[in-house]
Amino acid sequence: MKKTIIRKKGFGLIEVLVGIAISSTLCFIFLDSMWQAGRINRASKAEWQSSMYLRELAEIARDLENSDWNELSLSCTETLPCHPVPVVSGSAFVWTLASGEEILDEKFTRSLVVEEVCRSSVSFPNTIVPCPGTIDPDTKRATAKIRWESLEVAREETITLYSYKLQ
Amino acid sequence: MKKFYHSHSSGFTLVEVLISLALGAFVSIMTLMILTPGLRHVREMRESERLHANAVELVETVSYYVKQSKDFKDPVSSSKLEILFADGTIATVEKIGGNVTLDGQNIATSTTNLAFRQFEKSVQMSFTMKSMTSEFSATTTIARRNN
Repeated sequence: MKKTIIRKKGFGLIEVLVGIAISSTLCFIFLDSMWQAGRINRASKAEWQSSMYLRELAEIARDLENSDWNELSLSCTETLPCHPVPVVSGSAFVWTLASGEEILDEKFTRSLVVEEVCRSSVSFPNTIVPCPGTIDPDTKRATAKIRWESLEVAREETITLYSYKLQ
Repeated sequence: MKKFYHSHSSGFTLVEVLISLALGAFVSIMTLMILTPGLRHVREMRESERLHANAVELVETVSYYVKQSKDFKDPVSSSKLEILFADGTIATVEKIGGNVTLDGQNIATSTTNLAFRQFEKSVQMSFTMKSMTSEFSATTTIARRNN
């Protein structure tokens, strides 16, 4: 006589553990990719914001070039840069430059450096050359700079423009 | 002759059903807890990208007009900017409802705040854009050309 015992089907402990491990791994990958996407999104937002602030500083330098060329002071140096401050003058607003860097949104550090410009010769045509050389009193080099931290990496962007004294 | 021995009668016991229900509920809750923030994140990113595109369009359009302008009309601080050109024409940028318009034409949507501050040769523009899941504010300055 042959005896056959039919055992009740089910998952073994190993199978259940493997299943849990696989699903946990998939969940982890999904969560991690979402987290990374969020970080990249925040970083790109910060990058856009920084480009706005940097561009603003370059535009303020353009405003000063046309409205108050002398305000683009050579005292805004690499070691002691300047930052823009809006002040009320009569019934209008004007831009002025104050010493030191400025912090924007507790995240971005913005500054402006103004330097002398040297040329290859006094008479035209000439080219801009590294100083020392013949200093052009009617041209200044303005460098707008912004620093911030993005994805745990220090970032810095600059825009350099030349300002010409309008006769 | 084969003889079969069944260990149990067919069907689930109450304990098995209760355990499977509890497990099912737990798995469902965990899945929801994992998926919901993830999907919200994706939606936020999409909205944020749309708002940025909106903001770029707004800044570039206003820059285009301000760059070639001759002056601005008073007042110096306002939610509306009237740009004067050399030929005497005027372009008006203002917020109507949630949209920013240029002479009545929509140039940006989802805008909750728009303010201008006039300087001697430039204008500072501040705006806030908001959607269901995302919000950001920006401030920038646009200088006029040498005219």
